[in-house]
Amino acid sequence: MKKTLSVNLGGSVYHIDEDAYQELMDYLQEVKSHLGSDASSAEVLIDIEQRISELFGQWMQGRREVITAGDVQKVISILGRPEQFDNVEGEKAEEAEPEKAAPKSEKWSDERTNYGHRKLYRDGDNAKMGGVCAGLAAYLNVSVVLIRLIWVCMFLFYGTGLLIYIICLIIIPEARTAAQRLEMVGEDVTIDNIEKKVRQEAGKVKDRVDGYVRSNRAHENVRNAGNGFVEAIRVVVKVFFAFIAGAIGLAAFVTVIGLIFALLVLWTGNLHFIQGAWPHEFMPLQQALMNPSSATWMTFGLILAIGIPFIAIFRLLFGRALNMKRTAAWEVWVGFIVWFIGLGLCIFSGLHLLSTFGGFWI
Amino acid sequence: MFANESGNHQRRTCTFRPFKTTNMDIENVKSQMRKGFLEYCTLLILRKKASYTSDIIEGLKSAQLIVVEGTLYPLLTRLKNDGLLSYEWVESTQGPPRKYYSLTDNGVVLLDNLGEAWQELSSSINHLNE
Repeated sequence: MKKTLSVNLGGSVYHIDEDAYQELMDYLQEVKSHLGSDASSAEVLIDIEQRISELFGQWMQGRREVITAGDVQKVISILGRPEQFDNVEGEKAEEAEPEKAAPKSEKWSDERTNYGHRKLYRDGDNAKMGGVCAGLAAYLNVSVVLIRLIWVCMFLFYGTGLLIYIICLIIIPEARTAAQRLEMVGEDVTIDNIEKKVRQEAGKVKDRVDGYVRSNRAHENVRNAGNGFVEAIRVVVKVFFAFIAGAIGLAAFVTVIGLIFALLVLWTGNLHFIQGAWPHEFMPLQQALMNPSSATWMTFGLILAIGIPFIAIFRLLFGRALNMKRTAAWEVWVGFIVWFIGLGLCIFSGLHLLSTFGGFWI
Repeated sequence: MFANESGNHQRRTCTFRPFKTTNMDIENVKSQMRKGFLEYCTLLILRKKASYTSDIIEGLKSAQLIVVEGTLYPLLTRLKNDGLLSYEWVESTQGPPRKYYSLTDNGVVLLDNLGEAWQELSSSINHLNE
């Protein structure tokens, strides 16, 4: 059993299976993006829809009621995929190219209008290496060439540029989705804009594939080599960061253990080694710390209040480098609440101490 | 030793021209030729009588000029926008009204020009073939 939809195709109503509908929609969308967006292409699209409608009409003719995915595939094989349209004609592709190039040159003036809502991403599409320069150029709304030039100059200063580039490569995320690309150039993330972007990208992919087939692959190989280089750097730097992160983590672990140990020592009253160091007036405080309940609470409180921010900072600094999962919103909330509880424990046990030995402090 | 070197050389030139590329080139040239004739043939079909898109497609398919129907729709719209074709809606017994395309005066002039060009071309090719 399948769900059906009824569609108006070229002026006739058809019942169509849901999967068939999806396939037909995709096909028409492909055709639409292939034809471009001038007035004549709308006409062509109407003609094509009408032809599809007619074919369906012939096949149905009272024998069947619902159009299936098989029918849609048959229609597509008769009309052909958009890329087959040009196999003989070929002209449309050449006409379309100046159109595609035009928005590129207008890009800068266009984007100047909504400045300020951009986000910094790496631009993999216009990348020479990792897309840092291209992304920065999009963010600052200046020419990529300028940024690359500045970067090359920085390379010459004892390789400072290289270090900064590597750091940027790790810290700045790549714009992967259409929404992120829009954010990168500061356009509003609306359904219309995303659709536009996706269509542009589909065109770009097609161009790239065409170019790949036509060229001697030399350019692509250079690009691939570039990608390989970037990957190699990423791996090396990742190992390096993992090492540093491990060292810091170990240090933190030792510190926390030390802290617990110190409190335990205070609590159990084995105070040989601090006895001399502590002034005599602090004895009441020591005794209070030795009181099991208040010392335990304080210990817990301190571990939570110090440990949670530590974990947060650690994740923030090294999460990307170590390829950890992104922190989910609920994790942040749980962390925050637990931290708050820890802080509360500290304050309460602190206040308890103060109230007990208030005379000493005030 | 000398023969050996020349043998090496020959093998190297072979690797520079894989068969695949050659095949693709042939397909490309064929496609270019068909493309050149497509407009002419479309006009030829329409000279006899005003036709519906399906009829034009049938004609072109029988001449083995197009592979898929989708090729024709952009072409017809372009020719119409260039003022070479015009169309009228004709009621159909089976379904919605259909577009019937016919040649305009400009279209006829172009067709005559193309016809002359074709005559010249075919005679020169025949000459070369002799």
